[in-house]
Amino acid sequence: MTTLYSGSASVDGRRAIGSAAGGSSSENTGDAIAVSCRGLVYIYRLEGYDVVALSGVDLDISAGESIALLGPSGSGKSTLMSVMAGLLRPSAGRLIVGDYDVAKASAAELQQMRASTVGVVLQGTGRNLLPYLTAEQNVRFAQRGGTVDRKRNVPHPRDVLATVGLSSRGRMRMRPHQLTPGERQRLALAVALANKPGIVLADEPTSQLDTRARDEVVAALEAVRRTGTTVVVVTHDPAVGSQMGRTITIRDGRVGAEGRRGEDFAVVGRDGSIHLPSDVLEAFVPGTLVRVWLEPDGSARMVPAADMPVAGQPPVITGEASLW
Amino acid sequence: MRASQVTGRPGPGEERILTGWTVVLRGIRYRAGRSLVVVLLGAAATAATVLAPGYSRAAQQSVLTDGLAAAPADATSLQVRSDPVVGESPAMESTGEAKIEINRLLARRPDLSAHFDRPVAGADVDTVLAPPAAEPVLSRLAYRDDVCRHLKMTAGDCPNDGDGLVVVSTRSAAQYGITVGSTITVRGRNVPANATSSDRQLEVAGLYEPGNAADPYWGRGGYFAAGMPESESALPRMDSVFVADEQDVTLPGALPSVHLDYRLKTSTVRLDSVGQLRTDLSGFEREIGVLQMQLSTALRGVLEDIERDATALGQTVPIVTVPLVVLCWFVLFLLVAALTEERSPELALAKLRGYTLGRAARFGRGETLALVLLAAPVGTLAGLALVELAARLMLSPGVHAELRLPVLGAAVLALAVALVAIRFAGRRTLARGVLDLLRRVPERGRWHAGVAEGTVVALAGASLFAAARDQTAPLALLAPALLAVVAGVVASRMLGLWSRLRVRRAARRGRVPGLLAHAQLSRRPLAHRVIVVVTVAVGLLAFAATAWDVAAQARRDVATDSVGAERVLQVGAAHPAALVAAVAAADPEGHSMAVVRVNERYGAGSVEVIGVESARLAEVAVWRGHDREWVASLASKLRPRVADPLPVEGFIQVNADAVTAGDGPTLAGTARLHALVATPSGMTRVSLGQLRAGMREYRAAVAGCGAGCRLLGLTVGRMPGVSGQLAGELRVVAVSTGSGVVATRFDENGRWRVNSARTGGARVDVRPGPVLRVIVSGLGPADVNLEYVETPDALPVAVAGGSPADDSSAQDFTFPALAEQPQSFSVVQREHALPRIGDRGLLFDLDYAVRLAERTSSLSDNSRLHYEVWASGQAPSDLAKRLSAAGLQILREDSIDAELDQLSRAAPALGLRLYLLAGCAAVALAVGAVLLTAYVGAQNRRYEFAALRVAGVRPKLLRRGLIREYVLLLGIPLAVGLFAGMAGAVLMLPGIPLVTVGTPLDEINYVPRVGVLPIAVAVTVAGLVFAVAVALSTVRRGTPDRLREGRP
Repeated sequence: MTTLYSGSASVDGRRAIGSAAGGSSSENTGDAIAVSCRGLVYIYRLEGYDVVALSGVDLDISAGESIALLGPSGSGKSTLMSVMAGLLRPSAGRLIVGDYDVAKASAAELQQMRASTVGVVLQGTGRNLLPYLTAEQNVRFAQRGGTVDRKRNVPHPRDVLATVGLSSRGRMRMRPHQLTPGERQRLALAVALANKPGIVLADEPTSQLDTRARDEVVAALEAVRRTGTTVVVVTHDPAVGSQMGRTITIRDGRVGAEGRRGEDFAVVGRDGSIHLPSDVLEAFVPGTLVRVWLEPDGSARMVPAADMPVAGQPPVITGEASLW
Repeated sequence: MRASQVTGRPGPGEERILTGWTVVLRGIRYRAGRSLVVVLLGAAATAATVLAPGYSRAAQQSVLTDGLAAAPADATSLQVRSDPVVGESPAMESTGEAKIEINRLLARRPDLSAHFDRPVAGADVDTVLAPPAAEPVLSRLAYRDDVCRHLKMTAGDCPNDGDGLVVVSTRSAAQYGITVGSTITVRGRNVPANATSSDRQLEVAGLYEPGNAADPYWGRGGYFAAGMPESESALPRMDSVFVADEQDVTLPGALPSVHLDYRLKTSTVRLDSVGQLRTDLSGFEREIGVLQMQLSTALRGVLEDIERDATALGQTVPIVTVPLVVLCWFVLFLLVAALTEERSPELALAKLRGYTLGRAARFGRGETLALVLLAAPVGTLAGLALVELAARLMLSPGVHAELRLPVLGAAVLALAVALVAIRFAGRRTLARGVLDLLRRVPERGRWHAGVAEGTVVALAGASLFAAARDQTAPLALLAPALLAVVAGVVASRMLGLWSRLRVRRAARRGRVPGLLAHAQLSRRPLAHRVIVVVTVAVGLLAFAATAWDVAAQARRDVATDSVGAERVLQVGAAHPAALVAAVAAADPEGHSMAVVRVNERYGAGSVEVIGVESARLAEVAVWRGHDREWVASLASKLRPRVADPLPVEGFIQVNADAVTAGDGPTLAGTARLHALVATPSGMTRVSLGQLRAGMREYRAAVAGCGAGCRLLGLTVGRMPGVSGQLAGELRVVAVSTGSGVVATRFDENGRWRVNSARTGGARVDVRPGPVLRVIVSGLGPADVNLEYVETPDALPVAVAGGSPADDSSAQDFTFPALAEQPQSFSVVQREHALPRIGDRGLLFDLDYAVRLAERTSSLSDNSRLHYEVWASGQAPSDLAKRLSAAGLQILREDSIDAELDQLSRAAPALGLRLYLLAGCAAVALAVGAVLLTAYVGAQNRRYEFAALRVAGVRPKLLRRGLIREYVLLLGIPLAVGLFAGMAGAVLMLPGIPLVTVGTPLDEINYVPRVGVLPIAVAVTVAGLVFAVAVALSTVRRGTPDRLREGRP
């Protein structure tokens, strides 16, 4: 069970962070890897102003999990994925991906991480594939990024393509434009798996796909997870998110909510802030002054300032929220 | 069945390995159109780099070949001589002996002997020849190998062997009364006349005319040099007498000179062999000296002159080659940068998959590298093919493109430049991160560009300053190109600024085409580079075309000035009257003109003196800067109407009365009368006998006056034996001749006058009237000369280069004309230059000049005189044949067209052709660069257009915007480049040889006429329009369905 950390407290004592810190370059054997973010901040420095895309993300992903990162446009989902892939260096905070401390790793170590540990599927299949290579050749192209030793251990392209259901000879010899949209997206996923990474990061893998193709891709993602690879998918489609084992809602650069086993939970941030569910937010509009106190049964009660109770007596509850 | 069909997995040998080259080749095939453009551009850059050394080499070879072919054969040939020395044994006694010895020496020098034909051997001795019925004359008794094949026999035979048989020239035979069968006596020139035992009798077997006196077979010539005595005491000379047997030239007391003439095979002399040829000649000369023989050749001097021209060609080559090479490099840099930028998404993909920087760079550069490597040999071959084509069209026959070290070096340089461009041009793109590579925001210009532009501006300023001081300085040679670069940079900056302003304005007004066009122009760094490339390329072409047009006009001017008429034939004639008669017979329509020239030494130089038929001058002469009416007006000034000559035919008869009045003095019985008659062979005094009292007819025959003779005057002189001073009156009533009574014009005042210089102190009063009264007193020993005034006292003359006198502005002066005696001249016109004779000469009427000259000497066989026939375009095409039939000897023919052709193959013209080729190559590169930018950005533009169409912008507006964008992008540099190129031409042309290496600057008119420049502009515009059409076609497919994922 993955827990969120507030400070350094551990709820169930399970370590979910990799053993090393500080940019270790040990080989990843392809086993699923975990990811841990602590207070992750990323700021885009544009001309004349800065944009805080991630404002302190605390997140733990267990090895072998399948995660969907949900959230509206501009919430920071893609930024978080880019940071996790080593494409952006955090402005502050800590990020451990497998054995790599991304904040401290050198460019060469990040390159090695992408060659061995992290597989990335960019948004839009055209950006993941070389249009003049066949499906098999695209996979081989991705495998050429590894070291010589690493290359000996990578799976055969056919096996990789089989994972995503593209192993027929006809499909292997086709070029991307000859495949259906769903097949193209699955091929993009296969390319990301070419070097047997421990984690696959997919950005909007089902965008611009019809329902059937979407289902194909989701099934492929599940197949990938079953191979023991951690899967993180960025999507704005709740239907896709519901197919993943766990959903994390990113809002305003922070983890706002999380969904497990069909249930949504708000997540208490390190600073104690919490993103209210939307229906509660309608009642407690931003700017509302509330009092929060802990009930003896462990729940928390939140009362707007206008409904102040008499001392020693339980307050009249109108529009209050109970936080479990 | 394959293993894979059994197991479903690839079996051994069925693995499809993905190598880097597989990716490269697939990428090239995928982007076939763009790849082709890259190969063509790379090949064009290589071809342009190879062009300069390849063409320069071929052009220098052409200059060498043409120069040797145009040089007189006797200048380029070798003559090995053995001349007898008094008191010593001759080095060689026969031509056979000479051949053996010299061939032995040449066998040791195969490189030298390979350049020369087999020798023509000759032996000759100068003799005094006594014709059967004439006074002795000088003549060369000559033997020459195979002489009969080069003589045309007019009578008798040309014997191939036979002791004592000779052939004599027809004209000499006529002059000295020699016929076939005559016996002539010869003795050595230095043998005393009384040593009759040294005389040799020779029989004339035939009479000859030389087939072609200018044939190189005759070697140093001098065989047909009949003419007047060399000095007062020397004998006249007749043409050479040829013997059949070499032994006949050995006379008692007179040993012959033996010589071998080796004619140069001009086509064998290559640039590489010139140095060795000079060395071999020097060595050969030393070895011959050991044999007591002499080597005579002007070949080394000819080679030096040619080398000077070839060197001049080489010096002007950098003017276009350096900027062309820099342009190639810049275009290649542009090419590589654009290609790398275009593949940013693929580079991002490679980095995303963990490619190291080096591997990603190899992936990014691989396609370009492969295409450039392919383009290098293609471009080299294309460059050589272009040189070969140029050689066949423009250069001397036998000149071809050569694959030599400089060409290979240029190809390697082009490849190295391309590799450097590949290495550095895409470096910025390759260094970017994955996300930056995935973004499509065009990079902004950096401060490096500003520094580079500032450097170029500073260099341009320095070169302009250098050019203002010395146009031949190395830095000055780059001025035109740097000027074009600066113009391009300024144009691109101004266009960028203006576009940024126009974007706002178009946005405010809602003008979509303008908004689209100016938005692109204001933010694309590639656009600015294209502007610079096109400006420089157009500037180079405009410079080359302007230079060509100016030079073409200058060549025509120089050809016109140096030839003087459409055609000029150099001929041999007996005397000017014969020339005039032959021209009249050959061309009665009057489109040809007889001309006689003399070159007189004066001061440190010479003055060319030229007599022309004034009546035909306007019709025939081509005089730059003057029209026909002006020339006709000058001609009338050169030939003021004086009086018709008094023709004499067969005899002359004077009806005169030596008046006797009582006891008064009389000339009757004491004086005699002579007639002065000008004949073709000179002036003759014809004795008419003693004067007697009363009206008498005084008559005498005039030998040799069938036609062409005229009465110059009468003389009255004292009879021999009469002493004292005489006085009396002679009344001349009439003069008649074989054709009838001569119109003597006695009644014209001043028509008959006394030559006061020749009266010897006598007083003479000449009174005109129906009868000419000549009253003489004090007649002493000297005769009284009465002249018929048929010419102006002072010959009217047009002068170029100042009067040849102490005062160069003198209106009247004396100077030798056709005769050696100085002649009075009166200047009627001063000009900068005279046709054909240049900027130092005198031009006058031929007839008047001959009349005046013949009063003092004969012009027959005068070796000082050179005869020419000038012809206009309307003259008969077979004029040479007609003149030959009329008795003239055709020596050489020149024409303005032939001169132009020769000048167009001289070093300066060949250099300018390279300029044109380089300019065309530059424009081709520019068109390629425009095509490249269109291809590279095509996909992005298609997506942009698709997105705009989805947003509701009509296709028509998109097209108009695109067209406007390209019109500005290409139209502005076209105009700026033209201006920069022409300005560069104005600046540099005075420092570049345009016609010949030594053509004075003031002879050149630097205002270009309409010529190649409009064609160059049209071709450039066509090329750019083609590029725009291709650009339009690439974005025509920018339809909304492009936006669907996966559509290429």
